[in-house]
Amino acid sequence: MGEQQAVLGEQQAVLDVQNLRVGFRSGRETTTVVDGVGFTLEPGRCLALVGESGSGKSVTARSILGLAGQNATVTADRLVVGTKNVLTLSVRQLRGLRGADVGLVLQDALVSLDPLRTVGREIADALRLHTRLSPGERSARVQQLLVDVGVPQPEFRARQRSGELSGGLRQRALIASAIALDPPLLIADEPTTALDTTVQEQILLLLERLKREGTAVLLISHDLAVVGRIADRIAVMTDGRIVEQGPADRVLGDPQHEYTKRLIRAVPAGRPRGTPLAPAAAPEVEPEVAPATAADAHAVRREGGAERGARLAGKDGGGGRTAGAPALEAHGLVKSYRNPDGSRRVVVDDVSLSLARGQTLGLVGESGSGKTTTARLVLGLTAPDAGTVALGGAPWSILSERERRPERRRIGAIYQDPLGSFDPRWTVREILTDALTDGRSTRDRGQLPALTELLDSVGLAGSLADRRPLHLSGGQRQRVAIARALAPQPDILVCDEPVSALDVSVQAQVLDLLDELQRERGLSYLFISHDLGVVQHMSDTVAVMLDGRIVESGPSATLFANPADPYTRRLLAASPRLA
Amino acid sequence: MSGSAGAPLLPLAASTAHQPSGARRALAHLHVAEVIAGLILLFLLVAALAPQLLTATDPLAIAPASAFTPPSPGHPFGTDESGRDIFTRVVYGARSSLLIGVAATGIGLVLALVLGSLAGLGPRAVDFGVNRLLEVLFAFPGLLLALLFITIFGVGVTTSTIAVGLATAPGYARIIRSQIRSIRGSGFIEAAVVLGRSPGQIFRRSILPNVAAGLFALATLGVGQAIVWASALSFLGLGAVPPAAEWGAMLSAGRTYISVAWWLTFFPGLFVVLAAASATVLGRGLQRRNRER
Repeated sequence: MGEQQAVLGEQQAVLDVQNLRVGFRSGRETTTVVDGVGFTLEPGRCLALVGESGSGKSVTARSILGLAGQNATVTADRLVVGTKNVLTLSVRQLRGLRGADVGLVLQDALVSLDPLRTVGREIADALRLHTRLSPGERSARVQQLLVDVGVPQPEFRARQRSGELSGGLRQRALIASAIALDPPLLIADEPTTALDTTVQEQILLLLERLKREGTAVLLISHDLAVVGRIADRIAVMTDGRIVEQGPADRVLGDPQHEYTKRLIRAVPAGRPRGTPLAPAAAPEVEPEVAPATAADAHAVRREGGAERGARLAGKDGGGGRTAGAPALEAHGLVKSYRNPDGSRRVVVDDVSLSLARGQTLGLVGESGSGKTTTARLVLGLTAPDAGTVALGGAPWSILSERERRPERRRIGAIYQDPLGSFDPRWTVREILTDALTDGRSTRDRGQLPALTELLDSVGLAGSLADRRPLHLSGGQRQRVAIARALAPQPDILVCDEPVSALDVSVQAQVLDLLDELQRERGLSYLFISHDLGVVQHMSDTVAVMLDGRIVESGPSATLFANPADPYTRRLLAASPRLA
Repeated sequence: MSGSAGAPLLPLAASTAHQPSGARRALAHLHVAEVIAGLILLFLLVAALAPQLLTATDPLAIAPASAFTPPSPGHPFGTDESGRDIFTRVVYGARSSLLIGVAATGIGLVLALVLGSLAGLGPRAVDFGVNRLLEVLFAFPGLLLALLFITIFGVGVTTSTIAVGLATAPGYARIIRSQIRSIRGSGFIEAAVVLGRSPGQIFRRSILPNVAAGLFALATLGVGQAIVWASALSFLGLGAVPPAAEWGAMLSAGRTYISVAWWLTFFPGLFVVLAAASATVLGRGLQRRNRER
């Protein structure tokens, strides 16, 4: 293996980029998006460009294909694919480059494939445009390609349209069309970002196989853990520059640049509960603590939180709430919906949950597993077909909406898409004033002191109060959503994929904030996510959902150390983590 | 957290430095057509509220000696068969035209809001019922519906205003219904439910204002249309009755003399067109701005 790599290493590079600069003109101003980027890529190797949104990684990839855009200025000392200088190619020659010399796989296969044409025709397109194969030969090649990328029943699948395929199959079909002409270079731009963990695993294995077979892969991703699986070299990008580049093991194991260190530190997978992920909230010097010690320290803190939670509950413990009861208890929840053909589809099937006061219950599962429906049942937004939900020992799901309404302040929610959860007409001040005044007013007469306090507690500057959420960053929006949920002083927060749409370092800050708020206020979280790493980092107990059922649940530490259910094991094995 | 803890709460100064103020941005995006339309509507508004400012003459004062004077410095729009100054009559006519346009649109909107909200928020059966009713109303041309109403309740400015309002309501109702439907399913309504807001509060504070934002532009368009319809009804002798200074009625009266005195019909007609066109231009501008936001 080592010998083979050495031989490969001497081969001529498939891709040679030196001092690439890309600027975008708007009006008279030019914004530099890529600023002096350089790397080379040999056959059978994988280079990963890692960075957060706006770092310039996608623009870099597009420039290689001559797709940077109309108003872009691309300059470089070298920008060579194989033997072709991309900078001097005509529009026509660039078209020849795409597909034949470079295959491109994009993140969103649903929009990258034409919904009105069959998958087989989409894949055959490249063959039709670039080769002289007969229709018979083309269809045989399409079948072979689908087999190659691991699509079962290729003849049947080739006749389907992209909307009829699952996310994983769609992404495979897209890869098949990208490799149809055996391009020596494959550019994959966030190829697994929208996919479930187990599907992501399959796609990564496929990319790895293509790499072994000699294709050079330029992998673009925001996810260090994903990249660590298949990349030989990693280049870390921020603000249009590569700040660190080197062999994958070295970059991940012994990062040199401050930004790389921060990125790696922000990955929640495998980091003990309660450890801060972002530097701002962390103490200046924090020695790497052994997991056992961290767990102990955390347990102590947790106890403190639980005590406080119990005390808070005791203080206003009227309304039939029992002091010792868990913050939230769901028993035997069932929910089904009617299909268009009249049959019933069971979405949540006999789900029981118990969330202790001041603790976090992680609910993990892939898309369609019934996580969000469970959240809606817990929040009292839909009525269960069977089963009950109790809050602090008092009935909740069996109440009528009129009876439940005054009690709603006890349970809040934050969502994956905070922007959609805000009235588009309202400023941050109006959103929070509304929440603080129980919906009586959005007019903040004479600056509510509670508003300043609230903004402060979620780490937002007061100067943002008069902005609309549309003009805030993703992390700021989620902070506003958290502030709004906190305004009525709830005991429980239901967090439905709260960090899935955020960059790693922003995700780290939001997770740290949630942790800190839990400690300070004794909050109980029902934390829903598809991301095992995030759930592991955040939860005291974890429940794993599959097809509407909870297949396994238990204390976080035990469950992740000794998963009992085969599905949990599969999920854990598929979940990429840093070595 | 640590950095912002002591930050003073003086947000305005900081944020305005980066973003131009609303008014300045609005001015920068104004089109020439919109400025002209705005000036015309401003003129009509002054005419409607204080016609004495624009003309010293009485719109009903007759002067048989100077009948059929063509446009001249003394009578810029000429005079009619009884020697009444047409400019004065057009100016005074703005009041009833604008009033009918605004009132009819208002009536149509209120009716549409009731129907649209019922359909958009009510149970499926109500939605079904309202939709069928709207379809029946849609099947008749609006003017026919207005004629039917006038036939039943008699001729006059009030009845014709209500009639025009009724005729425009189904169109608005449909739009309101579909807007409410889409807002009802959005995340911020769910967030309001989770915060414990009652259906009444949600309707008043979250649904209605978001519907209204789009409706304002639509209503501006509607005023122009209503002015045309009201003039049409007066022209047919079903609205304002001569000798009242009303554009439709003036058109109708002037029609007899169209071969000898074109100005009798030209100027009232011109103002119907100007009013309707200005309202349309402004309405479209508002719609565009809503979309951009």
